[in-house]
Amino acid sequence: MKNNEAIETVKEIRSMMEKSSRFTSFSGTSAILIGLFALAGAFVARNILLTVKPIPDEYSTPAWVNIMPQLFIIASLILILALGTIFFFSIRKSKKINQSFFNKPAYRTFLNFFLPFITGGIFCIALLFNGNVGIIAPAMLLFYGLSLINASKYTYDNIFWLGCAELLLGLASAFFPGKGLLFWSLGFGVLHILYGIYFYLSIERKGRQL
Amino acid sequence: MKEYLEDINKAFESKVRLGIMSMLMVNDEVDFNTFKELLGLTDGNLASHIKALEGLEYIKVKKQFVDRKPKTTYSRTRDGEHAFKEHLLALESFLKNNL
Repeated sequence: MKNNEAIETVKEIRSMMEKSSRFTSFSGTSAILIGLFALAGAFVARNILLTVKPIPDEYSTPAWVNIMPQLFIIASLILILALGTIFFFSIRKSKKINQSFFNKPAYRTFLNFFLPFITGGIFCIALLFNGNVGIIAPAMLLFYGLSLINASKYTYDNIFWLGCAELLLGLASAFFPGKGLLFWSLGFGVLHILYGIYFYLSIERKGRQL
Repeated sequence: MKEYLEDINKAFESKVRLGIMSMLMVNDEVDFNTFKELLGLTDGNLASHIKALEGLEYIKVKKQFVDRKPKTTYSRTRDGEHAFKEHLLALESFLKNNL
């Protein structure tokens, strides 16, 4: 056995250990769809918001209190659609390659994603109840970015960069009060669509693993 | 140099068998199709390598039916785990003495 042969062997072991312990039943199409749902939702929300005369930092006027439930329902609908899409496409992909969907890597990925994600969700509901509506959009982007970064260790590495982009948008959004919906649409709409296209072109079509 | 080579396990000389064992070290159970997908092999080729590891009692087979479809999963045995760790140690000392 030569030296570089031994190094090759070690590399091979490492790569197999990594590949087999990661969640790979993810489809770029679902990211594109989620982005489209988000944009559609943001568009509807914008039209509702236009009916209210904006007063900076004032979210407890009767007009606002009136539209809050509507906005909340739109947001929940987008969330349900998005989660449904992710699970539908992931299950379909794992069936195609005859793997069981809910294996250990999938469990680890979802656990690590949903822990910060649900925390953020509950936090945003609290913000809504307290009338801190202005920082809901940045909070959503920040918690979502952290969830992606947390989950990226157990699935495709490049999700880390999507998470970083969401974090940047979230931070930027925090500095521009009143522009929450715009940043929200960029983060949950445009970024998902771009990521989905990138994922489809560079990973799915080439049949790459990680 | 020769003594380090002695511990390098012949069973793991093949990339496929090494790959199968590596996956079973980090996962308690791996199914046939996952091996196939990650190693990029045909059924027959993969089956022969699995048979070899089974013969050495390095891996265990579990056959069951899920949704009326047969499903075969594999897991490592104690012997397999031990053999793989020895193999890694041998590789390690080989590299240490040759770098």
